[in-house]
Amino acid sequence: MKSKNGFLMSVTILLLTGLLTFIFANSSWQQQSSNVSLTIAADKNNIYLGEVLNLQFEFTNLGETSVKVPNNGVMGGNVEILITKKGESFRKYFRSDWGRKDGELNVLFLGPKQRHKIDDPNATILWNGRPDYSHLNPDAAKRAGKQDNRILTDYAFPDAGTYLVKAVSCLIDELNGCSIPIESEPIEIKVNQPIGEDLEVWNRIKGNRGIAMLMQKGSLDTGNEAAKEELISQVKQIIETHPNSVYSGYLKSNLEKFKAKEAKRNEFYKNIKQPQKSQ
Amino acid sequence: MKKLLFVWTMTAYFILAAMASEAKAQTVYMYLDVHYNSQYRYVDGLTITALDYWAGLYYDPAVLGELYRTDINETPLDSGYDVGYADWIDAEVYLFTTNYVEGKTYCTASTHFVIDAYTGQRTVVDAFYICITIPNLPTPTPTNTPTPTPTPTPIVTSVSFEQIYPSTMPISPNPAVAPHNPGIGLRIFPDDDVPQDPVDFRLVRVVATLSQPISNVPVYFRNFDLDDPATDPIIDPMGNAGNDNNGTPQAGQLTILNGCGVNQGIIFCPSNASGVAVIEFTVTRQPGDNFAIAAGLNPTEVGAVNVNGIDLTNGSGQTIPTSCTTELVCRSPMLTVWRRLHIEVDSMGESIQNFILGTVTQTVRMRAGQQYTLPIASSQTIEENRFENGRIVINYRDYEIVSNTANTVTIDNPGQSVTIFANTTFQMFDDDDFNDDDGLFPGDGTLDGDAGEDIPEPDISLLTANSDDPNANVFASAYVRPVYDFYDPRDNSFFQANTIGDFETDLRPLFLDWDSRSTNTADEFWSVYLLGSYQHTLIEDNDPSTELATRGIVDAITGDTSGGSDGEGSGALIFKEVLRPREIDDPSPYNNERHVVAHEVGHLFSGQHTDGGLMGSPISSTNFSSNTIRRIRALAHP
Repeated sequence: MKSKNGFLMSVTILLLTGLLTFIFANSSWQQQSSNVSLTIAADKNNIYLGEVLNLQFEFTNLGETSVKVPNNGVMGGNVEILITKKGESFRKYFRSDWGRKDGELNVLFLGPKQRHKIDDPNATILWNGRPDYSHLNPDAAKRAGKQDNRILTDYAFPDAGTYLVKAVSCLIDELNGCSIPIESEPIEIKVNQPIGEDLEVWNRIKGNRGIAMLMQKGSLDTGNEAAKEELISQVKQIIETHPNSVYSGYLKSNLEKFKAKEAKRNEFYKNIKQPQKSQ
Repeated sequence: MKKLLFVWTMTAYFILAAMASEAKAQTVYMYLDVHYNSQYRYVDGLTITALDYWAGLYYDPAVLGELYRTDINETPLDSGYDVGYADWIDAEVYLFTTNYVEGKTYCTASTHFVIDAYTGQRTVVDAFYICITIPNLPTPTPTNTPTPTPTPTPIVTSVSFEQIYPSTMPISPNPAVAPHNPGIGLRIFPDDDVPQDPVDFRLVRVVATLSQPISNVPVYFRNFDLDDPATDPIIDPMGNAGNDNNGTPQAGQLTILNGCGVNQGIIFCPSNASGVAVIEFTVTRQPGDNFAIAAGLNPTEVGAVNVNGIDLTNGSGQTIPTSCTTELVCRSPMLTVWRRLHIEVDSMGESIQNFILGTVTQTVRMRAGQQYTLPIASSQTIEENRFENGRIVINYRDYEIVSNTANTVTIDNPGQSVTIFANTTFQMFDDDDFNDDDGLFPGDGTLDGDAGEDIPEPDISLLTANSDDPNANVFASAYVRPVYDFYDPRDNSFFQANTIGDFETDLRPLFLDWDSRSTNTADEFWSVYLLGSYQHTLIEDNDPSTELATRGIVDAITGDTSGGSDGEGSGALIFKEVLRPREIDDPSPYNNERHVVAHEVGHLFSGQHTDGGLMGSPISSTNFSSNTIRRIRALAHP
């Protein structure tokens, strides 16, 4: 009888210890994440359909001890953007060039009350890489859609309306890396239907991935020379015929940027094919 | 006393030489019959339309067959329609019913057609019917003779799979890969053996063997999507339930071959003289999809089979075995889909020009044991402090570089006093040394930008060829096996110390010997490209050491299908120079080349840093997380 009681007591102590450890671990996690805030800001809160949105992020350490946050922006893959049309659920925005940089994690030490702004030139929102589920059976496609939770349209903002945009990132834990999630409050973006000349241009560029890529990142994103030429000619024509359109502003500056990069690229690859001799 | 067996047949042949031709008569052969079998209590029939050579030049045969019982003739007991091909393949419909009643009359009705091969127009040639009546049972007379031992009713004793087309990866036992695959049953590689392979390796033959070698016994088949044996809720969110495959059709597909038919919604095929019935089955191509086939002689029993985990149960809830002795329904082993990943591995050639040339612009007299800053000029852009801990060669003497700007270099002069005159040329090397084979002291004259050293291929030790061991093949947990079978897969053609940018259009032109380009977006033949490279952009090559290094990068993360092959992940660059041990400060066991290589291939399978594990940033495991495994298994192609 005595040994049975002893056993029960041991089990109770073990359970209590486990419970306390769990509560402690949870509260310290909450403490850590609630001491840091992530905010997101956009260069505009009122845009036309098909216009590029530039985002900025800021971490603020509200606590009294230093924390570590990732500092490698969207290319490092530790910041995700979620978007919803007001009243619907948030879905992930996807760019196939984000999250590709693999190397040492760029860690930023944020002292007490310090803040750090990430002004990432790649953090632009326009074209959304949509997933393909057509090869899956209907049940699996539904499952994958739910688990991936990605935006299923070609544009992040496919229709006019009011959208909410938020960022999800992480705090860095000593043992597990970028593992403590942190989420920003959403910001509101009003997307307007273009009118007049802008509508005319929008109807011409709508659904054109190459043009969206040019507007968004100054790249035509294709290695196909003929397709490149065709796109450049289309863009030039739009700029010429609709110089005052809101889209022409993006197209003009990014076409120049693209040309400069292309010239640099051509020079670079010419060197690859015809290497110079060492002295 | 021997039991009497009644097998009666009514047969009719018709030959119609009806269609005119320019020189030769065109003949249509029409056949129909009806039988009954009193032992197994079924009625069946056959209708055929066939053409001779001359008719076959212009037409294809077709036939509509129906089996009726005359007293309930509003709807047929069975029916079918088949189209043949010229005089090569006859149009045949096999009709079958277990609705066997003594004293009733059963008729096979046939409508025979020809289809114009050029216009597709179908013309009725003729229609017939033929009937047979099953005699009433004789009234039993009391007798004292003992009851005869009944002939045992046949059953299906086994259901097996056979490869229809010979493959380099034939059906074989499914290996266990902890923790998600317990290794039960068989596996199949339904992907192409070679790019644009004309053979469809998804097709397998299902063979049901009867307990007795009796021909013409209809064997009923049903295909099932078994539960995914993984217990992880991300990989298998449906728990113990089946119908969780990713591919389409979900449970694969049975093919109704000539001579086969459908009864009560269940496909059957007749046995041959050896007591073997065969049907074709098409599996899906998604790795980890699993299937089983149930077979039996009674459509009601086969229709009552259910999935319970990776088991099949009969109508009474009992588990159906794969080797049967008395069971009315038997089942095949579980057949699981695996895929091959054809990895093309290239690397850059011998290092050249990994240095800067220029001139010292002012005369400097240097005393021994002191540091000096020399003003310099070069036609090449000089990144600030890129050359720290590097080597400069002036007048055949080596000096260690302490720091540099775009137009100065600060050096140590440990040796004797020397004067460097204006316009003296110099050659500067940074601390690049991908294989750590140069000396530890930058001024010792060994740092040479790896001149003449060939860049090796990436470390693929976590993607070991033909391995099912998850420690050697990280993709094994997603039912994927790497192979290295590209013709001329080891090209060494150029060297570039740095890439020009991050964009896909900056990186893909470096895939100069990309032999697997044609299968980049092929669903049937998965391929990826790996290039052993040197360093990423000048600002991400760890020169100076305060700079962050990019250790690997893909041209794109797979998952954007909006641009065709543009924006789709195809290949990865692995930067050997920054992956050498001396360049990696963090001692994590995952901070090494083999993990980076596996991580990059994970991106080509749509893996993302937020997946964690091997895809995490930083990498925190040698294994893919459940999220990445789920993505790999649901992808059309990497």
